[in-house]
Amino acid sequence: MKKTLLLLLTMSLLAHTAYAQEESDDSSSETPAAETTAKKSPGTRSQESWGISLSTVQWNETLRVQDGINMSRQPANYNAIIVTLMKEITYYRWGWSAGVFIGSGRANGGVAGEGYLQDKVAFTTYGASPRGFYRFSGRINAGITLMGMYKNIDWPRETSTQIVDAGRNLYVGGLLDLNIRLFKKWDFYSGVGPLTEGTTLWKIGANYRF
Amino acid sequence: MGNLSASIHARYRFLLIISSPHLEFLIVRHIKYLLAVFIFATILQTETAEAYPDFIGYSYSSCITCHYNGLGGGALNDYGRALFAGEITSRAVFPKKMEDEEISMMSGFLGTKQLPWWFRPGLKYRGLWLKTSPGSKNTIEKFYNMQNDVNVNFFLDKKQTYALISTVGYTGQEAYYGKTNTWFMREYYLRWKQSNNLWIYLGQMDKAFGIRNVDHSAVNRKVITLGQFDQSQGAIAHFTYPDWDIALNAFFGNAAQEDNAKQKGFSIAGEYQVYEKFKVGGSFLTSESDLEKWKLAAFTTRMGLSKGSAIMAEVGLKERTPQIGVTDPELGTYALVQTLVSLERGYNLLSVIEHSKRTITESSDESMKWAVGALMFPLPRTELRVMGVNNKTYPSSGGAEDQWSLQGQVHVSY
Repeated sequence: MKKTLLLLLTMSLLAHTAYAQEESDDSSSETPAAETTAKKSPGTRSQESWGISLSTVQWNETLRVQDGINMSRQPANYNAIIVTLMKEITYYRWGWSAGVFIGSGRANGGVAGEGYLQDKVAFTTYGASPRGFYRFSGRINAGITLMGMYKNIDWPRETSTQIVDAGRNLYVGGLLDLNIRLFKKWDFYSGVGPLTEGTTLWKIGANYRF
Repeated sequence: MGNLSASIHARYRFLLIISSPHLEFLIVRHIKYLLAVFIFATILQTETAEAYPDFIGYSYSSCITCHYNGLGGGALNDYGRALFAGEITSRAVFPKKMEDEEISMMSGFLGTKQLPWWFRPGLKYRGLWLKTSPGSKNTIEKFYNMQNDVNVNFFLDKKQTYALISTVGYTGQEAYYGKTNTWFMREYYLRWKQSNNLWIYLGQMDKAFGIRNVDHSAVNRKVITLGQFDQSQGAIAHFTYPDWDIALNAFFGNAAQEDNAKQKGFSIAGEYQVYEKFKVGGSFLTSESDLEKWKLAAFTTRMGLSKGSAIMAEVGLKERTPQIGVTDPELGTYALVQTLVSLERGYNLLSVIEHSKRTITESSDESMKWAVGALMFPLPRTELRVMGVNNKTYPSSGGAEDQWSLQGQVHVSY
């Protein structure tokens, strides 16, 4: 964990230093990135930026609870806060970004009176979230975020013979998303998409661009 | 805001110039010109709140631009009708050579035929098709006639200084204070424009609070006593200035309610324009009946992003205290973030995220809803919505499964 944090901090500092001398970009204007220049054709000029985001991710899953010969499926809700460090490159109408994230949260699972019930079970998660997007204007873009996510959770056993299977720990899913530039350095991001069969993941947060 | 009125203005000036030979013709045109200028000048003189509040993306930051009620909702005025037929609506059904202002000029109740200045009627219908849990064995499909309104509006003078605004509704399946399939008076009020900066409303109308978004089932509407049938008798003083407005509302309950259920109290709602197409606001409400007491406080913001696109949010605290028995107040929260992205004229992407928690002083369920889909104006006076809705409930204990539903909505306004 300490190594990961150190790595993230180092990357953040390096990014900040590297771009400290960049010319200011009035990115809150309506004009897409390349419209302001006449030197290069709109399709080729790009802008790069580093950013950090604070988001909430929420999804549901099914727990398989086995106790002896009895097996039941129980709903579980996961709710986490994640911090993402990302780099974004935008062209005239298109753009992409790549980020790594780490976070933690709480999960509730089971149903009262149906054999299993646990609340506020702590878990951690980390992963990568590359994104490709189309720019409707300088302030609005929509696209697809690919979520590669690993969760780490131990659901407590209520009896010594109970086995609680939380399903897969590694997910790869796609989110349809919308990113709104509210102010020059602040974005509002929202994405939704399927995670596993019958479950949906939400990612909602704020991005800050260095 | 001025594009449409400016183009209509220009059109009439043009007609005036080319029609010089015959005096009678000139006079008729001139009267029509004055009438058009007068109507639009009257409407444009004031600032306030919204058509759909999202239309701040078109620079319409004030409700009174399109509604007779300066806080939004209810009957559309002439400008609102023109907007519903023109700027926000696809013009695919019209020939390319037809100008926008020509389309807008057909937006009257009887098309291009002018009604007398003292009378403006209107019709409004909303129907909702709902399919819950699509694809599962438990799916349920229903159609609701949500809104069947007849607007009847009278003006005592040409400047519309005094206006009597009324809306008669038909309940359909949804009960109006216990009655179904019956006509009822949704709203009726006298509007007095004391000056460009002060509007007085007396009668039964929506309470002044928060963002009046159209979805009456949203977390900032029905569940906090601001639903589609929660109009209340009372008085509103609405102070409006170019950069800010504030409304003070004293209210005494809906005339159709039982006396012990009438919420009596007051509210304050205001907005400040930080810069063009960016407003922040706040609202406060306190009221009580013999059954329950309410206190509400909310922060609101609306921001235009690019032409036709906007984001708005309302975040609030809600405190409900049952008056029967010894019960502690329930202090809860709610939040709504709505984003409208214009894809093409008349066609928009709509995303609405809602969150609410019944109480924050103890463990309670969290309810979340995300509706994503299309908001379309394919024809003048016609709105269609197609939405996919994902509901998540995070119970205070244990887990719960996602719920999905599909919604289709048609809205016709004449």
